[in-house]
Amino acid sequence: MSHLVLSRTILAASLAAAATLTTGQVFAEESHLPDEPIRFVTPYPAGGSHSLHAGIITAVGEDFLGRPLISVIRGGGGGAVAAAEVAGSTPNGTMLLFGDPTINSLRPQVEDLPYQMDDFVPVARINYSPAIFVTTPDQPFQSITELVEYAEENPNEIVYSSDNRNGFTYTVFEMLKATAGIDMRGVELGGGGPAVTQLLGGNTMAYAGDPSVVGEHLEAGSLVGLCVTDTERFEAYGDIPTCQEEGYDVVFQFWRGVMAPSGTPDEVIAELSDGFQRLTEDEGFLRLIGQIGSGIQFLGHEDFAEALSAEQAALREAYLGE
Amino acid sequence: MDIAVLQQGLAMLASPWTFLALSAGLAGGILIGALPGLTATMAVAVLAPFTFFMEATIGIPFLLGIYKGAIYGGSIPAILVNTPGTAAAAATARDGYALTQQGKSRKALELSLYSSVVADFMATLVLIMVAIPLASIAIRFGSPEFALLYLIALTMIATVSGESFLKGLIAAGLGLLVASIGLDPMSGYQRFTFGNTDLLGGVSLIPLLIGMFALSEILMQLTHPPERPSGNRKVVEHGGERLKWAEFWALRPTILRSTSLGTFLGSLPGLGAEIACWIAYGLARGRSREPDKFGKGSLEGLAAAESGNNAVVPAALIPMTVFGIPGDTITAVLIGALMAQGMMPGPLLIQQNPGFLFGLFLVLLVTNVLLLIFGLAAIRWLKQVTRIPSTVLYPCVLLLCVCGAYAVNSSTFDLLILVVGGGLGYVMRRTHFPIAPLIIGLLLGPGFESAVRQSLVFSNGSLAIFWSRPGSLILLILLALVILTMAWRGLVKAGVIRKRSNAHPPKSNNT
Amino acid sequence: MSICTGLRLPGSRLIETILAFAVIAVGVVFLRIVHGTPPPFGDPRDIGSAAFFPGLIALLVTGLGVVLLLSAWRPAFSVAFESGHTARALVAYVLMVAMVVSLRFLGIWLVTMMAVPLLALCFGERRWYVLLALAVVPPALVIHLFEGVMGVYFPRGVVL
Repeated sequence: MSHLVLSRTILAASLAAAATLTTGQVFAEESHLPDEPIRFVTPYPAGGSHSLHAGIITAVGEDFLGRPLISVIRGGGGGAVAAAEVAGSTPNGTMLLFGDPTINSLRPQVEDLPYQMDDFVPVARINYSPAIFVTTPDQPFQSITELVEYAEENPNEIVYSSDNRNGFTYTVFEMLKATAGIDMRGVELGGGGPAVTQLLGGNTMAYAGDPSVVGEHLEAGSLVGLCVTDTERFEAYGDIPTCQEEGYDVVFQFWRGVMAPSGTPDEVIAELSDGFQRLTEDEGFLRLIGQIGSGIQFLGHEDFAEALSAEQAALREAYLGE
Repeated sequence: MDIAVLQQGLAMLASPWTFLALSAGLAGGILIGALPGLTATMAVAVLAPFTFFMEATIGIPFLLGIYKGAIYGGSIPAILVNTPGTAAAAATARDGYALTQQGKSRKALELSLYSSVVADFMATLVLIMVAIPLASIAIRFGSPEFALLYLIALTMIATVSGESFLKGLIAAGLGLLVASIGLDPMSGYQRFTFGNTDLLGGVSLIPLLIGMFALSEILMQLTHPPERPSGNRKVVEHGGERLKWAEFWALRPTILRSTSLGTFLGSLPGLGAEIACWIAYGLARGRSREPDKFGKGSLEGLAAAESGNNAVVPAALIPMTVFGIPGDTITAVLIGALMAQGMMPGPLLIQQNPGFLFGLFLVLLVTNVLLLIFGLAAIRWLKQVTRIPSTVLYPCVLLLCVCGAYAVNSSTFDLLILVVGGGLGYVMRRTHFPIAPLIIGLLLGPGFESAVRQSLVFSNGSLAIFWSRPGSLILLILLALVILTMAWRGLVKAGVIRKRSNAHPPKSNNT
Repeated sequence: MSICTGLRLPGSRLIETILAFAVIAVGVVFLRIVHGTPPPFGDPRDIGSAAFFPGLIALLVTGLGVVLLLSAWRPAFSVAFESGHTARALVAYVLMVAMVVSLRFLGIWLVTMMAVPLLALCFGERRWYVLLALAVVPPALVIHLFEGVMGVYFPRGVVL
């Protein structure tokens, strides 16, 4: 059993390092949270940017929330399995979902899932990232306008890498197709990794994804950025225009946020929201988030609720209003 | 290569902390991998956040140690108690456990360790030397080629069906049906979920696998209690004889073949050890002089499965280091850990920080040597497992299975899958239905289906895509060859048996 | 496994028939779902649809089940299953089912501390101190290993 002791020692040492890294906020007033660990549920399999964010949050979160955070990675059904489980859990702040727009805004409206949008109350938005439309340097189009023109001349000729039905990439391409009135074929490849692979290998012609997935290839020059699905340009790649600038109204911010099951008492939501706010202001946390190429665009529970219902309404109009 | 780069790499290796972290990771990894249900992916995913606070030269070797240790560890319970710790060890369990039943567990453990280390070492050399050219070929492989590769792997059902091909096909069909349960990512349809939320994500593979192998093994032990160890008691107590050098040396064509196959398949992003071990196994049986021993304790079969699935490990790092694309889920987790250290793997890392990358490669090679030492030390203890009386061993196996099956998804529904799998596995074993084809169908079905459907989107519905591309044409010819060879062998065998059985009645050489 | 030397279970042909019917039943259930009206997963005849592969496999399984049924009633049917202590295995299986079903109500500690010695009892262990040790040592070791190192937390029951 000496093996076990050894790995435990390493663990303990790294945990101690984690504790000294953060400033260690102490709770002044009484907590409304039950005295047990908080399960922080990542709805996707290990390996994506979601689980990476969750890993950092749960590793340093205890000092800011006053309760240990347990990271539960629960993939399946494109996030629906975990969402249904959290929606049905006891609403007292001990089980939280690390949600996103496809799970919390889009899919409950367009698919028949075992949970509804209003089964969740927003707690805090951690950050968001836009999608960047990309292509390879040897394609006949090198800007979004050229892509649309090419698609108009050759309807259904452009094959693009998509992720999952009603996923992030799938949605922004549907938006582009609708707003530009063009036809293209998407191949659902199941995730960002295979999607970029097929694009780089010349099997598909375009893709749109998270900056953390495509960023490095943009820097290396193996991919060309077409436009950004945000209201302003992405700081690190300032030369890529927004889609709006180019005349296509495609705005989709893929946020990552903490959701609690509805019925959670308001004071618990407020306390959690404050805790996550302190967490996102911590230097050590910000350094780690910066290292994974991400940033913080924090919204507290009230602002987040507002932004969320606006987004849900916009998606309802875009998808079901047609 | 630059001298400065070389120095930087070597300096990283010389640090005692790197060494310590590597050893700790390796030891912990073997232990985690040996527990059914706890996979290498999970171990790395759970422990990665802790490395965020370590130096890169400590944290990354620690994770690589866990990774390698856990992959090797998966073969240990497969051999000793017929419980594959990971899906990739399912082929290992076939011949490995058969050897254990013959009182040769030590030989099986040693062979699995040696073939893992050799395969891993060679594949790592490939990674270091030809990563870039190999990756530029691999990335050309699209869905049509994947579909054909899956199809080739599916033909291996015939080689693992045992005595009844009909029952093997039925088992494979059931596996394919079970694999289609869940949310279809391409169409968004919820297939065969019967309104059950937990089935939306599909039937969890690892709990089902553990149930079919381990729980059914427990039930089989109760049904047919093994006779008291007769004869030379000393041999049984020491896990039987060691692996002889001559035996290992005779296996070098098998190991080489499986390693090259595993390396090639591993370098294709998206194909994993699960497919490599079965193709390697089937190939080895096809080339073997004693194909009938496969599944009954063949050293060739064990070596092929183990070297096939371990060669995938370094090879999966090829797309990661060259393009920053994860080769499988575990490299996806590793990419995350590297990113958290401020090092995004991919074309830029090769240009900007070649010293670190070179150091990483050296660490991989050293890990192999350490794995050999740790493995041999572990075998000294592990061979004692066969001495534990079954009244103690199997209750503990049950405990580990239940905990492991729960751990995969923290879900009590997975425990139901575990016992259903156990019952099904037991019925199948009592009625001579082979389990391996079901596992192959289950593992490869979803990949095959989505590759075919993706290809058809690429080609706008035309099946010509499967022969109009150079890569897919080669694979299609290969597939035809495989099927023809199998059919020919089957016919010859049927003819030969009838001819020979007149002269010598078939004798069972089981012990 | 050598069939020739094993004890023959009477009624092998009957068992094979039941199995064949079970296989056919599974195939037919999946076929019925795929071909339901309206087709729930798209057109089963379109190779690109979500219904094609499950439909094809279900058809295959049904067909193979029929072949299995026919081969069981060939005069040359020679398959014989070994007999064994099926009842003991059945008891152990009931124990396993009870274990996983009760886990979410009784909690990991109580369930494992009962199930481990009970299975040992099935295997014929009768010494009380061994059973006691089995009830305490393996669960404590394994649960602490999973919860402490891997961060996997098991359900807790009312008592423990």
